[in-house]
Amino acid sequence: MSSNMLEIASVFMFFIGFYGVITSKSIIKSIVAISLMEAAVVVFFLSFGFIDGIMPPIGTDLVNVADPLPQALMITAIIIGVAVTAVNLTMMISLCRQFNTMDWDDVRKDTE
Amino acid sequence: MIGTGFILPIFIFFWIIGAVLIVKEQHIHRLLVTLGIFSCISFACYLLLASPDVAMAQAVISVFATITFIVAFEKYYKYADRSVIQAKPSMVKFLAPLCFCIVLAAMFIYFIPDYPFATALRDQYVSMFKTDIGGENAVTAIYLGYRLYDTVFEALILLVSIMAVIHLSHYKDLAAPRGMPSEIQNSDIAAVTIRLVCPIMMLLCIFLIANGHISPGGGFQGGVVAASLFVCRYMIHDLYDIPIVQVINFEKFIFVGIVLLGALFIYLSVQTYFPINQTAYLVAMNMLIGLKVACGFLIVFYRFIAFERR
Amino acid sequence: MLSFFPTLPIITAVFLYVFPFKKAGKAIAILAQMALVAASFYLFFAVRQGDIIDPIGNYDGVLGVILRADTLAAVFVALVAFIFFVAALYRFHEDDGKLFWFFLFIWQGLLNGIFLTGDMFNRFVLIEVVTVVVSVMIMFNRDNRSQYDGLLHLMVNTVAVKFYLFGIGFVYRLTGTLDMHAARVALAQIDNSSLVLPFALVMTAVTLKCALAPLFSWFPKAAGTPGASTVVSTILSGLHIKSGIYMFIRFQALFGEIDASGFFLIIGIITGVVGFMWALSQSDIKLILAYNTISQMGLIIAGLNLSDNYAHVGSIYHVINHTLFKSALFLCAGLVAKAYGTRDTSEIRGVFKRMPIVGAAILMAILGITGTPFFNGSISRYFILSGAGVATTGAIMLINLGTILVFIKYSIMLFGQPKPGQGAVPIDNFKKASVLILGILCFAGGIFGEELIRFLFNVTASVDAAGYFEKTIFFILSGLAGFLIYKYYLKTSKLLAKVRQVEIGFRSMCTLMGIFFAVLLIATHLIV
Repeated sequence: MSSNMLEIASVFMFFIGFYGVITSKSIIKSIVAISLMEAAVVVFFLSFGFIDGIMPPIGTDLVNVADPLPQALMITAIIIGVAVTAVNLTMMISLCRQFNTMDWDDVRKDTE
Repeated sequence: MIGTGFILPIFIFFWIIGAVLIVKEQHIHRLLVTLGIFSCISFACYLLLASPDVAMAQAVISVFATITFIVAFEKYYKYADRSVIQAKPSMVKFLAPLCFCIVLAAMFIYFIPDYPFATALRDQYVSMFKTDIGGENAVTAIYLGYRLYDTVFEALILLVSIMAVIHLSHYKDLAAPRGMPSEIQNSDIAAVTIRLVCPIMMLLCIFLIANGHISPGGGFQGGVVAASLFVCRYMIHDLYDIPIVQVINFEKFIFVGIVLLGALFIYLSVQTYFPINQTAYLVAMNMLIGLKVACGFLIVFYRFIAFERR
Repeated sequence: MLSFFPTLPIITAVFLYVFPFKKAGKAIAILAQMALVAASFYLFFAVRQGDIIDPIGNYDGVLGVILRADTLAAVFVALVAFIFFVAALYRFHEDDGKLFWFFLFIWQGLLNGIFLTGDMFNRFVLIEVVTVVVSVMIMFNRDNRSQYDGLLHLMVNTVAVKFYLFGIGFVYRLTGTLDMHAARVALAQIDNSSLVLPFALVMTAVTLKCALAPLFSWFPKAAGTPGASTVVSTILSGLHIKSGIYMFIRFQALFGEIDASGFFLIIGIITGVVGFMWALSQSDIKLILAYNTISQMGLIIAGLNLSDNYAHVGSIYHVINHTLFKSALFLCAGLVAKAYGTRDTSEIRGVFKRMPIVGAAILMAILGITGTPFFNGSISRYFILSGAGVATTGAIMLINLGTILVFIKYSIMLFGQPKPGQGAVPIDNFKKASVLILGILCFAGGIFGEELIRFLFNVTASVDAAGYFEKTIFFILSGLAGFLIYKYYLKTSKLLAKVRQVEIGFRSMCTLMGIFFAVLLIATHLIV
């Protein structure tokens, strides 16, 4: 599988997530859809320079290895994603307690 | 890796199918389980893309997050189901966003530049990291050495989001009140299983942290595994005996420790003036990050089980 | 040395959280703020000798993260230090608790980091952290409305940042570096048609961060939410939003080969007009100020995209001026709202009688923001207009007329008689000092405009007396017109009531983001 194919796959994933973001009624589904967009970005970064038979950048004899920089960046991105998700969920639960709903439209109506 | 040639496309295909299922799902419980499966496929994809460090981070975090989600949301299933009760969306409301996204994706793919990947920096990293930072894992060398500045802010976002989780919660207290009733049902099977699993997890955690600089893994992954130990413990025993206020303060000290150690080694480069082994720095830093992450995730889990699900 | 600016406030924050001293804690906070003001002034003068480059860890080339300070960054850092110092002064006698100060200090450190970093991925990390911090600050008091606003802010910004991340991924793939300086050199070698996609992705996120049309709806919710503390709204509207402008300048320079200034000029003007329309339709003083900020953002972006050097300098000077007068207005609005117990403009009367010093500060800030001669707004607007063509001049005049209209409506509350039973309001000296400093700076920025521009940006720009006189005539005419329109049309207008009804939720915001991305993609494709 060439890196070009992987890029196209990650673009599809990105817009599947985006579809979830623009259509989901429930707040929790929006949060999950955002994490799909993030997964797309991760695969996009990891696909840089990918060819069949490439090795991880670990060990003593490093020939034909993948780029370590996107991997380090994506670990950071994953951790950030989890931290933001945790905050999102707490906010959502707190909102849910007040309005007794997880629905964007209902919450919006209630705040007016 | 051997054989990625035809395995990877299969996993990528299931990966996209999984995402479609998640977007289509209406029921929150099934949504969370599907998310767990999706994370599992993501793990396999990252592994086949020759990035075991990312894969491991994804694996431990998805295990932890899925359990936390499911535990925390038991109470809220009824609210989330409201969208199911509503009438099915009309054809226009279903098709219009779909077409919009397809058009966007098509435009996106049309404009993807067909330049080859610029490999200069990769070659530089691969050839230099052993002398500059040490260790045998280039990924660890980057996030503990070359780009430690990012890692400091990554630790900061954990710290900030924990404070946010505590402050934004409905309940003001830091720790669960004394004598809070336990919700744990005593099950012998769970107890026996967890007694078997816990030592293995502990070993795994120590292995990941101590060997982070020569093999896949590191502080983050090991830290999440350590936090998962407490998740396991929660299956047979409640967590209210943990001194959570001290853990919250301890986490701050560890953060300061990360900043100071990083400043000493990366910014001031003390290893050039004193005979300090670089490996010692890598292990110490991985240990600090592991402690920080373990504390952070423990606090999040504690908050969710002690407060958010009440 | 540069890494001192982000880390010192963060370490102070952690220190003050773990060891909460009662009185001493506040003294330490103020001292740390003073140290930062001093350090930022030192940086400001040090940058005169040339850009400061601070590679963290002294690795070869672009292997590590490289911090970079030039004149622009130094000005922004000085602005951050100054505004946070004023904010700390303002809150000195309040009992905020340690958590508030914790987040405030971290916010400051992160803003410094955003202005000083030269690395694209590092900027992503900082943006994510600052988004979480701002969301927490918005919903800090946790009433219903601000919880929704905080969640919306966090989620919309998270989606936008994914576009940004995708964009810098492409930049890395094309150039093999994440350092902006090196990437600019490398991108200049690549033909423009390959840069369309990264440019559109990054700029979509930056547009949202600048609160430009059509992606502005998160901003008034965040800055105008009733539950947020005054200081939070002040910093958000005065300072935080400027990090978007800064990113706009940086990323436009990064993609130097793509000249999309025509597109963003139009976007800026639309933003200016839409912003004042919405501002006019509101009656909540905080929301009026928040929507007015959007209108001013549009003006700044329009100025930045004029192909004239003076207009650029004028825009950046307007960024500083806007920070000063908008901070003054927000801080005073907090005091007024507290004294009257309401935020509705139609119920507040006689601020001058009850709080003369606050009234004076509000008046000076209003004179500044409307571009009255001899105040700072007039100087920056003069320079922006000096680079504009006929059509653009007309559009900017229209935005200015809108601003005047908004502030005619706003200033009514200064005059008149307070309701019986509303006597003079005691205000502590720290608060008086903080609003007066800002108000007087608005005046000083006008009187010493040329000198300040030379001092801040090392650019000699002279104000032509005849041209300035001409602008003054325009100002008086538009002031008169504004007064007449307000008196005979706006008070009875139905259009504004309809404008107020428009409410944009999360899904619509994200859809608009997608549409904007598509339009930008096509527009960029047509340009190259």
